[in-house]
Amino acid sequence: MAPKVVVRNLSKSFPLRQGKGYVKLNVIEDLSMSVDEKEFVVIIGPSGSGKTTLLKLIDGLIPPDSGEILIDGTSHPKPGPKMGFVFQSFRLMPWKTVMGNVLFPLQLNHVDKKAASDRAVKYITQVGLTGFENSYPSELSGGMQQRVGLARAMALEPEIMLMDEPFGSLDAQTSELLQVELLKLWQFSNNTVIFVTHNLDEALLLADRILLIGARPSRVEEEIKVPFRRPRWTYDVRSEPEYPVLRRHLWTRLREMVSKSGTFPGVNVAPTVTAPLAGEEWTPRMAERG
Amino acid sequence: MSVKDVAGIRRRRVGWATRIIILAALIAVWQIAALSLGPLFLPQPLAVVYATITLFGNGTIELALKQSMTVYLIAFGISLAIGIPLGLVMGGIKAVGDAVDSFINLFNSMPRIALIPLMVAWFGLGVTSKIAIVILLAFFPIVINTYNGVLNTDKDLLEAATSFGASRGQLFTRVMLRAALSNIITGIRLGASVGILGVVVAELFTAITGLGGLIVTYGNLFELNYYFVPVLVLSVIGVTISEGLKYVEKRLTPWKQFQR
Ligand SMILES: Nc1ncnc2c1ncn2[C@@H]1O[C@H](COP(=O)(O)OP(=O)(O)OP(=O)(O)O)[C@@H](O)[C@H]1O
Ligand SMILES: [Mg+2]
Repeated sequence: MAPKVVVRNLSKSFPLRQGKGYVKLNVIEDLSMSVDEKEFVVIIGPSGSGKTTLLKLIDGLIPPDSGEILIDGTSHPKPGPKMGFVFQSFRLMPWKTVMGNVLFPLQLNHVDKKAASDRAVKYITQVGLTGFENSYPSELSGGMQQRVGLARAMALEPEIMLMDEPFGSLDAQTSELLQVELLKLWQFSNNTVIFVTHNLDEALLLADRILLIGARPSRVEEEIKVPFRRPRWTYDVRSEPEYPVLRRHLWTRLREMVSKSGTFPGVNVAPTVTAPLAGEEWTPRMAERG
Repeated sequence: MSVKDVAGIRRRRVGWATRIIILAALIAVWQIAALSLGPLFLPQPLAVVYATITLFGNGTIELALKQSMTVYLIAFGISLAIGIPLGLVMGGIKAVGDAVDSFINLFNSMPRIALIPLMVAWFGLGVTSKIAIVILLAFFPIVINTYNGVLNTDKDLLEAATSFGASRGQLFTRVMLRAALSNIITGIRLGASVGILGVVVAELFTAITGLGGLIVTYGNLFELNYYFVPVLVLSVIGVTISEGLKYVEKRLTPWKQFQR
């Protein structure tokens, strides 16, 4: 299969405020990866390692310092309906209703009115928000707002979905439900998905391949193929024999990275990082403990 | 009808009841004060009512109202017609905003009433001068609020719209304008109320006409019962405009009703 997304030797830095001036914070350095057409790739990495930055680079929202991104063989990606972005913070228009928010990208891209409203209704139903079409975001719970964000990106029917911790703010039940919904949608549409998460179980349920991103400046540290057969909603992947082995491995690798992620390039401060206690669940916030 | 509606109506009724009680108390205090101070200091409420009937009956108020409102509407219209587009352009095009911003702030922070003699020197004592004075007061809150509204558009929302393929023009019309709407209305409201103030000040400083003119005339004659009539008329106009704009804001920004 042809690669849909190719990332070659990508580097990105941001100015980091230090005292009166700025220093260079290398967020991504020499990162390469490739995603096949119709593949579901999950990216896991410590907090602040540049996962959101990577998605924005792929979408063309920000330019790289160096390196190359190819979408269908074409470099310099431009944001648009070909890629749908689900943001970590929901980013709904507060002045638009649920319906208005889902219609918004379709209107921007001049989708025919009737077709647009049909699609909006379809995806609002799919994320389970029927009946809330005329509510404003301020009247919805966080989880419901995130579902609007999901419906909004899906209604564009993009070839590539860029999903930045889309279920991070949902309760366990809702996120499991939506994970399955997403699996079904993906199975029948066969979009290419690049999905960022902190949740190991979510990664193992969804991914064809998991890319472990290291601490800043980050690159792909390891690539793990997830062997479970599809469709995965028909059985419990957690009872597969490889499941605990893979999970344990991921967890250990992440813990190593978090304890290594103490250096700010160009800055003479090394934030102290508390390693997780034995048996303690790894959480992204541990990387920020100081 | 939902429980929430019922509760809302009850709250509104209680609100009106308290308002009427407070009004009655104010009138009572006024009556007592007027009786003890005498008509040269404070006319009795009933005397003001008679004065109102007289001034409305003989056409005095009608004429003054026409003069004042002509100045007000023209000046406010010009302030809106220039202020809002200017604020939008300043917010939409960074170079323009950066260039004009400091001048606007300079003018806004100086006591602009001090410029009234200048307006008189330039435009004389007639209607033109009055309009210029009102614009001087009403224009700046409109520009500044519009500009800030556009400027403070949530960057994350702009980025989200960009990712869905919004062009620069679409970002402006579909995101910035909407995000700025409530600030723009605030600017209009502020401009409208200082505009009223501007009309009165203009009518005091230039040729004596309109409601402001009646206020000086009756004030100087110590005919305080008549003096209160234009004062009350101006208050009613002010309240009507500001409540009207509040209503417009509520209609245009329905999503805000639930954030209180
Ligand atoms: N626009 C920006 N300007 C300056 N620094 C930035 C900017 N965007 C991101 N950064 C920095 O880049 C680093 C990576 O940020 P990014 O949001 O990509 O992390 P992340 O991996 O998505 O983290 P999390 O898991 O917490 O969401 C952070 O240290 C952040 O401070
Ligand atoms: Mg992130």
